[in-house]
Amino acid sequence: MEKGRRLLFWAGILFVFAATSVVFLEAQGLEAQAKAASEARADTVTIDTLAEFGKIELPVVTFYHDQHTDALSKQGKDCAACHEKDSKGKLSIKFKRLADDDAEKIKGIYHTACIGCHKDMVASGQKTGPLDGQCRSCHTVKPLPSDWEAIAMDKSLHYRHVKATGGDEKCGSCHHVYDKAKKELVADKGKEQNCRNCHLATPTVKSPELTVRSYDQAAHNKCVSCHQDFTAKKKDSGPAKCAGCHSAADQAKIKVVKDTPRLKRGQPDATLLVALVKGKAQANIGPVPFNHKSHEGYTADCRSCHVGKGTMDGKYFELAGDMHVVTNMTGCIGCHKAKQEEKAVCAGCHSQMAEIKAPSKASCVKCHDESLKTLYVDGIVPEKEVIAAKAAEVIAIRNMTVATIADEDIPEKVVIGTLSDKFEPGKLPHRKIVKRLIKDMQNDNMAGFFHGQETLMCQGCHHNSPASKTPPKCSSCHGAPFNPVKPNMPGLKAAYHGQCMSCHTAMKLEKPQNTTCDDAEGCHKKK
Amino acid sequence: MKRRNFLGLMGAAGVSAALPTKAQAGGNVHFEGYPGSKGVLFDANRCIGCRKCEIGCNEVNNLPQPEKPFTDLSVTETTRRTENEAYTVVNKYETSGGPVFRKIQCMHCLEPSCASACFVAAFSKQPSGAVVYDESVCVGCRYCMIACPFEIPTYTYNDPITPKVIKCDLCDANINAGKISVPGCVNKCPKEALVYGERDELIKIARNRLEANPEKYIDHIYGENEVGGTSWLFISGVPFSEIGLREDLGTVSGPELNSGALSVVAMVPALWPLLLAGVYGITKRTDKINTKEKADAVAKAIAETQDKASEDMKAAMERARNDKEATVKREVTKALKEAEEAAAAGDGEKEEEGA
Amino acid sequence: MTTESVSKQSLLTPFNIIAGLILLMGAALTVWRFGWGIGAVTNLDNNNPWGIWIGFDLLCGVALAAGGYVTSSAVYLFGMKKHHAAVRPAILTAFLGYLFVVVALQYDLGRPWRLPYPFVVQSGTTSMLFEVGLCVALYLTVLFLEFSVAPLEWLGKKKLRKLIHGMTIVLTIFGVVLSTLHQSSLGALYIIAPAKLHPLWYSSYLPTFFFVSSAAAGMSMVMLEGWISHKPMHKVMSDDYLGQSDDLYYGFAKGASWVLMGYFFIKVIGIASDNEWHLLNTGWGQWFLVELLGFVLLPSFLYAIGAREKNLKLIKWTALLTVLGIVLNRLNVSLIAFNWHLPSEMRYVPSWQEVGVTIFVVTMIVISFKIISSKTPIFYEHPDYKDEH
Repeated sequence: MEKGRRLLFWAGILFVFAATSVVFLEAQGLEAQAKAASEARADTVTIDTLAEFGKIELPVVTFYHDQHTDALSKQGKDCAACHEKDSKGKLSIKFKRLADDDAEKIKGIYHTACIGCHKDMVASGQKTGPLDGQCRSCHTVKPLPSDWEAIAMDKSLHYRHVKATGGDEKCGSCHHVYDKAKKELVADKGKEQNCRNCHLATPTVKSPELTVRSYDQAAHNKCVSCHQDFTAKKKDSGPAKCAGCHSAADQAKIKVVKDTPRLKRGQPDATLLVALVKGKAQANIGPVPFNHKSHEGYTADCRSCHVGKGTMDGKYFELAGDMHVVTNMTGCIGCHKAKQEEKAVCAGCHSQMAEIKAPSKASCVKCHDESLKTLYVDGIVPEKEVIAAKAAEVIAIRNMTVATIADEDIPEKVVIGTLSDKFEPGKLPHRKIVKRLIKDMQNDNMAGFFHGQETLMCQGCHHNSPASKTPPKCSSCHGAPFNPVKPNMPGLKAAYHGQCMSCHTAMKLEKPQNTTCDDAEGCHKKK
Repeated sequence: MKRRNFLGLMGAAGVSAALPTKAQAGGNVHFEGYPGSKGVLFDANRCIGCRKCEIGCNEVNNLPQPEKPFTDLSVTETTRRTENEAYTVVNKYETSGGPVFRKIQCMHCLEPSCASACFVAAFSKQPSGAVVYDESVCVGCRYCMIACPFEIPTYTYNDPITPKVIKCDLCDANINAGKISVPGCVNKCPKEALVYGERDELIKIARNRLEANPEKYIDHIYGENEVGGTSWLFISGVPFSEIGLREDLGTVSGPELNSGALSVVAMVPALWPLLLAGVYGITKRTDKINTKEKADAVAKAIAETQDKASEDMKAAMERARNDKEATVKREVTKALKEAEEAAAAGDGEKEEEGA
Repeated sequence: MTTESVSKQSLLTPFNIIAGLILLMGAALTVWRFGWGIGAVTNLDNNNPWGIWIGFDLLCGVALAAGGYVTSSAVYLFGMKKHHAAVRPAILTAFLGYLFVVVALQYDLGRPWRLPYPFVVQSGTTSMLFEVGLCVALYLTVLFLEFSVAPLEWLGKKKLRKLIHGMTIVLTIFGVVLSTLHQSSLGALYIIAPAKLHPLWYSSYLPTFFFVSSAAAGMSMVMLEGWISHKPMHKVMSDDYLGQSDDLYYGFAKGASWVLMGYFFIKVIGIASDNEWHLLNTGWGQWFLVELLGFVLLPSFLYAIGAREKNLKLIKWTALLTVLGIVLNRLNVSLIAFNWHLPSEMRYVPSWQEVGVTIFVVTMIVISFKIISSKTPIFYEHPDYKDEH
């Protein structure tokens, strides 16, 4: 009996122990941070340096940079507290080191410096981060959510920087090029490029003495240091903290300058677009006369279309991807389509047009001018000036206003009563709608260019029929629903409702609502 | 644990472990629906949440007017389910693509779980595609409500005498009687968000829409394969789980899920009696053998004891006889000796007795 | 040891008073249920069609009444003659258990008078419930026959009694077959609803789980019932019964320990085969582990220790623990882990009337058991048939 009791006792202990360890499998970390700031942050830096050296044992460290900048600035410290300067005086964005050489050394640096500083703060009685033994508070598997957004130097921002640094003569404040002879960075007036053309995603070793820093390093170094300088000089400056550039909320606060002056980089006002295969122009269908100047106004920056690096002789710039593919936003058709769906006045008709329908043959000649193919003899591209002049000539005579038929030819009201049963016939204010659509399209160049034919607008609603001043009635094609011969064609009731409601929904009209059938703002009164 | 008990248990465990494996004989037959069976395609991109379908159903089935009239569209804001007097409802869902409406009703599965679950076969899948309910045999066990993965059937709990299960029947009775040609809900929809037709055709129509407008639709027809395929199909511009259609139901129908367990049912009454009778037989035989062995052992013991007893007796008798002989001999010797002594002493006297 | 003499005590014992009140409540609830419908007395709704009347009365009732087939097969088929005195009480418990399961079912069915329909009007043979119904109906008959020997002895119907007694082996085999079928089919009921049952409890092995656990439940219930009835029914217990009582505990404790260990392993296999280990680290996982470790693995160990050390007290309390564990498992499968995906405001909580009917049914079982076992040869042998074993 005694033996049994002991056995029972130990069985119970074992059981409790097993149950506890199954439930609490991992040593818990501090929860304080997670509870304190439960919102997403933009200053998350993932410290995974050691991953380059092999398999890591613990989860990567999630480091909140702004939190530390704030804490250190309260102590009167700045970047130098953690970031060292290299031989050329440039700030390294690595932590307390200039290079990633030895795994053990790096690990030591992080642990000693981080925890050391925390210990010091504890000694001075301040609230601080994790200490020895609280491994999982830094090496956490549950980091706070990040809402880091990339920031781009768009036209507006670039313009503001130009003004702040002293205008068009001071491009060298930011733009530079490496002089091999002088072995240093010099300004390159007139040839300024996008930073990313040289500063790639990872550091590139060009020669024993030249390592081109990664874009990350270069940009942060350039931007943040400059901002800090300006702030120190008490001038209006950009942010020096992560969230200032990278949080969506702060990005929304960035002042946008509309109508920035045109950035002159030697680009043409008008040009002819033609594909080059092995240096030979493919001009059989004719090049596309392209109004470069007006298109500059439609984009945020050059990279919206010019994705790759251009040649420095200015002959042409690489335009990436197929210009005709609907999904390519850096191409013509893709961007045009996106604009169609953006603006309410376009979306109404265009949202209903099937996406994957092949464009009609007539649409090719809208852009490609076959008559110009004579310029390209044997596929040789003529001089820039010749191209520009010809393009300008063609563009000048283009019709850019929406054409429409005379008011008298547009029925004023259309009574739709074919299916009238529980409701009165609907009285459609036909002319009012058409005129309103035309009016909203007045200043839109794209609409004007593509809708030059006067009865084309009618086809927005009077679809799948030849363009005409007297298009067929809806009931000519739409009959009874669920017709097995025409399974994809809606019946007349659904055709009416579908056409009108889809347009209204795409245009995001407040009234009439889809579900207001029969009251004052509705379409047809109840009988 | 005795060996026979162990064997008996192992046998039992063996068959019960075989329970979950599917019966392969009928297992790879998949019912694609009766040819020409009808269904309905719901296009979530077209539905505007006007609730006209609910009105249509209400009228065709002569249901009472609800508390809040059908024109009150705010009811769609609360997620509703089917009720005794609402065979179908429309709900509004706030999705990643804005508000989207969806209609809930019986899915008229190709292999309905409710029909499989009903132990009086009150549900049946009609060739028209509808899954219909026969009130005249229903016992009210409500297992169909447990089985339905879409949580559709409702029950008239407050009716003490004639409670019944209620759900949409695809207007089967009315269509068969020629009163209407399409279900009430489909008829009323102003946007043709509901299309009624043969299920195979509907799938083609749905595919056409998905291919023609890939940006506007999720590339999946819900109900094509879910729980073995349903007659009510859905296409949508937002993920189906955001409009209340569960995407974790799998593609195995209820009857298929059951088929494994059902297939073993016949095995048990076939095998168990053999096993158990065998165990009983072995038990009885072992008992018999044990009894016989015991009896034998007893008999042997008795025989041995008897033998020993008779030997002892013989020895004792022998000893006794020897003793007697020895005594006799001694007495005789003694008597002779006395006689001799007496004779020797009697020579002096002339008293002889003629020894 | 003979039967009692007519009791001259007052009928107003505390037990009788409480039981009487419960019977009155039960009668009232019965009228309420059948007069105004299920909706008036339950919290059942369209999302939760089955409540504690199915979850507890039916599922737990059937599982706990498994002592009948376990004991009779142990004694008659597997030859454990030393437990023969435990057979009749076990059969009585089982018979009353199943009888009142059917009674409780009348409350839950919408149209209980149609209960014979699946057998006589139209059979839904694809349904697991059909299987359950058929096997329970047949098994109730088997149990009734097995049980009837005792009242027949009491009534002195020698010939009939002899006839039925002669069928013992056949009835026992039939009983095990039917028990296997319906215990496992009760588990199989939930196979058709994988979307509604939490993955840790859902498995295609549900029938096996239910069947194996019913064996452990039956053995534990026999021990528990023996423990509970020991004092109140002591005066009708024969020397034979009392003498075998300890051995019954030791024997059944050993058996139950093995069965529970096997049950534990097949449950783990169920988790492994569906690769659900990661789910153990959730709230539901912890609840599952409470059930598996605390109410399956733990009693298995305790039974083993108790049987080895011949610790009757430990065995008895472990029997209670096991019974609670089976109840917990059935309630988990049918009510707690069922519809786990629904928001809490849509979950089911039993109404007091449902609880009341359940208590009423259990009370009727207890009362019936008391009356029958005190009047008929359950705990003792009828003198006329003393040597017929």
